[in-house]
Amino acid sequence: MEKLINQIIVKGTNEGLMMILPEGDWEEVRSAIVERINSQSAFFKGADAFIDVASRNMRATEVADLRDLLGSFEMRMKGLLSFSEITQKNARALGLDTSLPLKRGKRERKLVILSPNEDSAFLIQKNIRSGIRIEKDESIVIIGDVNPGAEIISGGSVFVWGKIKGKITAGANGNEQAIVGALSIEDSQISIGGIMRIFSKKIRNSNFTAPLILKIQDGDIVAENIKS
Amino acid sequence: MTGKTITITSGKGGVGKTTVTVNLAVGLGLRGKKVVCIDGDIGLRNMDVILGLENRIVYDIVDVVEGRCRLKQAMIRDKRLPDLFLVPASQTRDKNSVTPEDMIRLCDEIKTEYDYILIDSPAGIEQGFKNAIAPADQIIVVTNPEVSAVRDADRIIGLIEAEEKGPASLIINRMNSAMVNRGDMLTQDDVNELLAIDLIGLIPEDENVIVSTNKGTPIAFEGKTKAGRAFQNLAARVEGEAIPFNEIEEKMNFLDKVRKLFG
Ligand SMILES: Nc1ncnc2c1ncn2[C@@H]1O[C@H](COP(=O)(O)OP(=O)(O)O)[C@@H](O)[C@H]1O
Ligand SMILES: [Mg+2]
Repeated sequence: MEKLINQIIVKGTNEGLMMILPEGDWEEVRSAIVERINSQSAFFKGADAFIDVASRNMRATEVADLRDLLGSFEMRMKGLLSFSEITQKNARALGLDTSLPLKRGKRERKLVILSPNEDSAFLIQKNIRSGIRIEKDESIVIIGDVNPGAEIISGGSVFVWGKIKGKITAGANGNEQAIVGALSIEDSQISIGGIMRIFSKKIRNSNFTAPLILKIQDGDIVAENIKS
Repeated sequence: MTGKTITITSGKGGVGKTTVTVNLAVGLGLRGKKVVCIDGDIGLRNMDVILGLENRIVYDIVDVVEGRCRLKQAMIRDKRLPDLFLVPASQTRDKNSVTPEDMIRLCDEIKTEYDYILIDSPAGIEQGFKNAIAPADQIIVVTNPEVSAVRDADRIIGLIEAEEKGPASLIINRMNSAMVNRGDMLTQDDVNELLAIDLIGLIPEDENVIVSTNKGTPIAFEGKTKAGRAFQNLAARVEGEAIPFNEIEEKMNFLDKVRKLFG
């Protein structure tokens, strides 16, 4: 039988590298990935990667471990493609895409209509914990906290019905109309439309029952009605 | 009988997983429960040392999984508690010699005769962690009141939620009341606020833990020590008793108490 390492297929796509993994014992496939990347480390370094595991059922810990493993080679795991519903569910729970992003042309058309007034958003109802990264073209609404070490990236706006303590990027494609909303913000890094601001002390709306809204004004991120 | 499998894990190493596992086992054993500890840290075993049983090991978990002995032959009985057993890890085999399916099979077998199976997980999220959480009915996350340990605990809790093994329960180990009172350490509230899962144990920093480890007599046998009492409280909470969290004395003057009340 052909060696596992030779059964790993690597292809370039518009969105980054696509790595198609063979069947077989996961620990052996994992070792083969390490071997493969080591054999061409300069090529893999810094790449965005989509991993295709066909029908393999992967546990959430395996998915997280694979992402760490690629991270240790300075690669970024963007998505995990699989027919397995279990694998898809676990990938989504960790904030990974489960399909390739839309083709360039379509994507750009979508960008134009992205605004804080768009009528659809991605809703998540849990605390976003350290190590989890959620990246979407559309706006993101989180009911829960964004903890230190977690990262939220949206082409539109980000609204957190909870505390922001992690890293937020809104208007990731340069949309300066995007906003960031939260019940409170402490010790976090927030970018909107490419402009970044670091918050080191806790702030919230002076009206306790209202959320805090951050937006761009005169090239700076400003917050309305701050209470610190 | 159908026992309960509890896995003790942390993310970060050295926060006290093994100490907690052994002492929870002793605490449950003192309550008359039948308990089996499984050392999940293959290649780095140390539960046997803390229990003072290292020279009794003949077979280990890899021998059971690979069929070289029966499960009962690898279960070492504690010197003090007749219903406390240890299934040791292998010192020499690599961590991939046991799979999650092996662990589930093993625990299903033990569960028919024992009240609790306690699995001590290794640090990190690789194979050993995967093995340790696969059979778990309940997961306990151990952390220290320190920023990096809490961050790692948060990550592990996220993974446990993604595995649909949650909600996990939390133990804060090595609370130092003097440091908390000086404001030099994260408080119980700071940790709870970030991790937002149920607290089940609060263990003070206690040098008796280290002394007892060296003697091979777990501190939970000594209910008069601060840590020993905290571990006995933990065992009671695992059994469903509502024990107040009074393990850490807060030295507050009257004014502080009033402030806390209205804070
Ligand atoms: N509450 C405590 N007070 C004092 N020392 C402790 C306490 N808990 C653990 N220790 C010590 O910390 C060290 C690491 O503990 P251990 O249980 O081996 O951690 P882990 O299994 O997470 O790696 C050991 O030397 C242990 O004796
Ligand atoms: Mg240990």
